[in-house]
Amino acid sequence: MPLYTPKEELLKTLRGEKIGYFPRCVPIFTPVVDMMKKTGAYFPAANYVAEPMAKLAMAAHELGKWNATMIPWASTVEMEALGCEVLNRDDDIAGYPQFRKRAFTDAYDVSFGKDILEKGSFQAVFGATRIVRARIEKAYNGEIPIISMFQGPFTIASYIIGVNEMYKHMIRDVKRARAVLDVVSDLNILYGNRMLECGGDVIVMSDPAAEGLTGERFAEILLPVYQKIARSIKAPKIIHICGRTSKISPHLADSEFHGFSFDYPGVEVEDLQEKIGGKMALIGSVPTVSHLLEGTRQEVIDISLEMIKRGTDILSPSCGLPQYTPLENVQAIADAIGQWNVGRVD
Amino acid sequence: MEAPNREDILRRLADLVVRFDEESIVIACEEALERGIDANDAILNGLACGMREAGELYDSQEYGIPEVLLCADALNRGMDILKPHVRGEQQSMNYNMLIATVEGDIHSIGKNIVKLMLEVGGFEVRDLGEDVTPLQFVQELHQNGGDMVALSTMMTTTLGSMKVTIDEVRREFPKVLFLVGGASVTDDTARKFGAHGFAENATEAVVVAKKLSGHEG
Repeated sequence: MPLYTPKEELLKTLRGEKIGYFPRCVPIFTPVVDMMKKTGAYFPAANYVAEPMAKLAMAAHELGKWNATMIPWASTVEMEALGCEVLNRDDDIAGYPQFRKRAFTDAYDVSFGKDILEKGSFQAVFGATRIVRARIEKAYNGEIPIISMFQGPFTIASYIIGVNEMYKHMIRDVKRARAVLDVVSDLNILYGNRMLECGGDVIVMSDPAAEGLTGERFAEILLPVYQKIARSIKAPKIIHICGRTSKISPHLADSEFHGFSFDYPGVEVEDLQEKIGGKMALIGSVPTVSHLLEGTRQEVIDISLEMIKRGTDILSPSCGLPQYTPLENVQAIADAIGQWNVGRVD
Repeated sequence: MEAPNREDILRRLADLVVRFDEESIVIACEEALERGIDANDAILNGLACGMREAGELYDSQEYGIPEVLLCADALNRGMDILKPHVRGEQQSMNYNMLIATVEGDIHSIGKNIVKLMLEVGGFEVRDLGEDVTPLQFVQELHQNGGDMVALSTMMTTTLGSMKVTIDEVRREFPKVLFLVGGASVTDDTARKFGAHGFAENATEAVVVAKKLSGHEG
């Protein structure tokens, strides 16, 4: 028997404590079509309605064997609530909401009202989190962690005022960049804390647009915003940034987040070990396209074991799962952890 | 004082693109023309060189997207000055390209940089924009023709759209060539999708497009 529950394993690993075997939870989850077929919960409803969202969230553990789940998955939750136009297609059971139009033309106009959490799909996220919490308590004695995901401030800022505009502000108009990041990070804090109140255990802040920044600009402008968020959300926190992050990652050690979910081969685990190992838990990184989507079950197991040997602290997909990833490949990550732990856990 | 030679003038244009100095580049382009530098020479061996260097700085992560976007702005400012002076016979090669980000994906930055570099490289490029459906491609090809389709996607969740686009366009236009790229695309994926070419970055896209279209060298 393992010494700890999957939730304890995750929390301890994020705190930098050694547990003597490899943690069994896989934290960064997005649903695949095989799960939708088996649960009867499809997009777009599962991105907007609590019950189907909860069903798919449970599938991470019950079908994917991941000993964890994550809610929500759409990157548009905050943008839509802030007024961006988003498109959903009823004929696409696996299609994510698609961003259509920015909400503001000037960074100084960005604001949100007191009722912001009543808007868009926020309430569905809170509802689904409560349902999943109750089910995990009842069926699994509360031992499976719930990861609450929100989009990071730079990504939200980029979409609500325009991606080109936000990137250019980072050089030409830093005051505007800081102004929008300040408002958006207030929303991050409000939303993140509410998800935790509804039953989330761990925060994942996914900020993919930050990949486009140099290390210097990241450290100067974005890092203080990450620190503000970290100080205002009292829970274990993970940052996810996909792509090539070797220039940004050294600064993440000062972010006051506990884990970094990285994207291999955008960045090498040895590189991260050298720069931030011991200061942050390294989470990842089973390549989503070459292995999870297109590879065999054995290839997923092999790369997972390789990642463990190379020094990752927690296994996870490198990015969101492509929706048509076969279920047996999803399960293969857990299978690899099981194989690794043979003889280490008993 | 000795007047700057061609190499110095072209080097300065490239440097101003790399330093994204939009104001100085306008003056420098005007000066280049006044000194008798051929406009096409100034574009290809001055501005475009600078943009290639910016691409290399991006690849080595010295530059991020903000820097590259501003380099492209500087290049465009220079192009505005130089383009009217390009002689007729030097204008774009007779090769018709379409470019777009695939259905479901609204990322435009990489695609726009690739388009810019293809244009600077002499291609005529029609930009269908972002989130473009296979049907839009088919309709465009029916109406205005096209020799090559360049497709981009940044997300793993829209990779499937790239394959569907290639399949559907090919069914109606079997001779059209496909050049693909974007963060979620690999050489291997490109081959599996049946694309003729894959490019890792904008500079490579021009090289591959020239090879595929028979304009190499």
